Amino acid sequence: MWTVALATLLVLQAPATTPADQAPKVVITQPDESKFPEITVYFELRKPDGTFIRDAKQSEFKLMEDGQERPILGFDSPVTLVTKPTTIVLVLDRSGSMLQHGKITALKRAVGSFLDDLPQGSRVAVIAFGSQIRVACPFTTDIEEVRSSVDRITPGGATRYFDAVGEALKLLGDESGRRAVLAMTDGLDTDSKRPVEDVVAAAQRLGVPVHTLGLGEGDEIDTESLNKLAEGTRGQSYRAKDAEGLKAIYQELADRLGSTYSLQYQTDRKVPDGTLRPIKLFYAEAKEVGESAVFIRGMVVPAPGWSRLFLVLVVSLSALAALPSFWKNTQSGKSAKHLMENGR
Amino acid sequence: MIATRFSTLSANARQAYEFALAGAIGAVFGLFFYVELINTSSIWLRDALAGALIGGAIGFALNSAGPLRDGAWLTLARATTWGACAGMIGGAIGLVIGEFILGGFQGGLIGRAVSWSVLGLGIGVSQGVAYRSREKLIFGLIGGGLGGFVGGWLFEALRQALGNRTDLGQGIGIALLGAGLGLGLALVEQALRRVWVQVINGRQEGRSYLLGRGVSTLGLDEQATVGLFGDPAIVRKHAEIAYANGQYTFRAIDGNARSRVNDFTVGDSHALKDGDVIELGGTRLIFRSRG
Repeated sequence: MWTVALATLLVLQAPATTPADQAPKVVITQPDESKFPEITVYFELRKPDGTFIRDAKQSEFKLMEDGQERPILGFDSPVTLVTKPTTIVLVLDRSGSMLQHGKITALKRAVGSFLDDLPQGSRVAVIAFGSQIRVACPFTTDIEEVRSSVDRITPGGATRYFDAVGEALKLLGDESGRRAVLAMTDGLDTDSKRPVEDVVAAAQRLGVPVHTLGLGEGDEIDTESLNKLAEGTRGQSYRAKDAEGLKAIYQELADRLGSTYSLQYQTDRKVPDGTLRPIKLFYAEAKEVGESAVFIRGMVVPAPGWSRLFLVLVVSLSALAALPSFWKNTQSGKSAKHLMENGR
Repeated sequence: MIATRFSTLSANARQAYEFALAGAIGAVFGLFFYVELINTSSIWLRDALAGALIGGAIGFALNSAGPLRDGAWLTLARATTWGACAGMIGGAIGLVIGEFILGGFQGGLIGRAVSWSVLGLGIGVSQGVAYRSREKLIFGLIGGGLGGFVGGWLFEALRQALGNRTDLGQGIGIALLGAGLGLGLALVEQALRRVWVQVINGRQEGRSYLLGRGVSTLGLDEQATVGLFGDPAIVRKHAEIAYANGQYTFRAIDGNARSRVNDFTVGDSHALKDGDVIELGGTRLIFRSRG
């Protein structure tokens, strides 16, 4: 009896498994509440083989905020003619060890081809770190300027990877729209003042994904921390053994940045009230729902129209303030009498 | 003596009560101004302005409570200007930092409580700094921090319980924050004061005035250390209490005005000790000195 049931179950499941293998999952990379009450959600459709679906339609999506469906007001897919510019900070390792095995040349070449593949209009800044962390190139849309500033980087010094990522996040703090940090290193972080958890928290606050790239083999790299940083920020952790691998990764990243969808919806919060709104994004063919949460800032809520309540509060507080004098006056009748009797 | 002690206790309680209510009223007014006047989409600018309004209103209210009861308008203007300016700065900084912290917590009961506590701390610090008093700073911190924590917690709890209704919870929450600050600042004064006089009867009954090392003046003068108003028998420059060599000495300045200590008319001067009752016109004050 059980065997039959099991066999039936297997048979029933068998045809479903094949397309499910190809079924993409929805990955929300970044919710953005800066234009409250309009929320922008950036996401991608990632297939199990690592490629992306770029031509999904708005009608195939459904968005829920805190269990309630919200209408999608705007939608941009990667194939839409108007590309949404992306703001990217490249964090590049220029520690002394980059001199070995021609790693610095490989990095410059990989970044060069990455810049060629980027969607047009992308804004890029470069942070190079050794013992010191400096902005090698401030935000610009001029790709040639970025390229030449990357070419000018010379290696030397220790590795302050997490501090450098922290600086990159600080740069992105003033930017809006689709943002990402691509942070590359070839060794163990030796000199950072900030722990990785601190950097993850900062990235989560901004809603910025940090993609981490480790160049090198074995325990030259702190794989665990790089994974933690990427996973905690909805980014991806990559690992390259050599120049070719590095180039392939940067290409994939450029590809990924060109595969991002965005949609807008209006939150059901009428005022920014400092609450966390869970979001679920359903795609018709996906086996995995995209889940995220957007935090709507608002420590003190600007909720207008409470004049009546305000009056009630002020009147009751004033009444409380007047209470002791009132009580005193009713008492003073007695005490005056008392004083008279005692003959002051 | 027992009667005196009793009246001191109730006067202290009344002062703390008044300060707490003043803080609460100031906070509610500040929040009202913010909600009705500020309309900007930038969250940080809005936060800074909200903090400035709330902090400024609390600073104003806390510093106006005493002079307002005395009817000392000059003192009122001076004290409230300082208190309000400092409160505005402290509130603005506190609210912006609090917003960061709330972001770190991603909202929630504890997040709201901690962030509001930081707002209270900011305003508390400002009151200490305005008077360059370490004690005021510490008690301002305690009162503001605790009041803000409880207020923020209650706000979030009420918001969640009432189906995201923000007005009631926030109104009560901010009143608690202000009350905590007022209570903290009143208690610090009572706990840490060394030498002071307290009014026993009349319009200013219960009010106490700290005496510094130097000459403190008593009289109808607005500039007086102990400004006594509402008693027609008190003259502009009535008397003074001077400190020298570890001793506070009472002197009657105006010979025609009635000045007595412990029911005896004071000729030239009288060395004061703790518990002495000074009588100026029809107003009686008790001299207190600790340690």
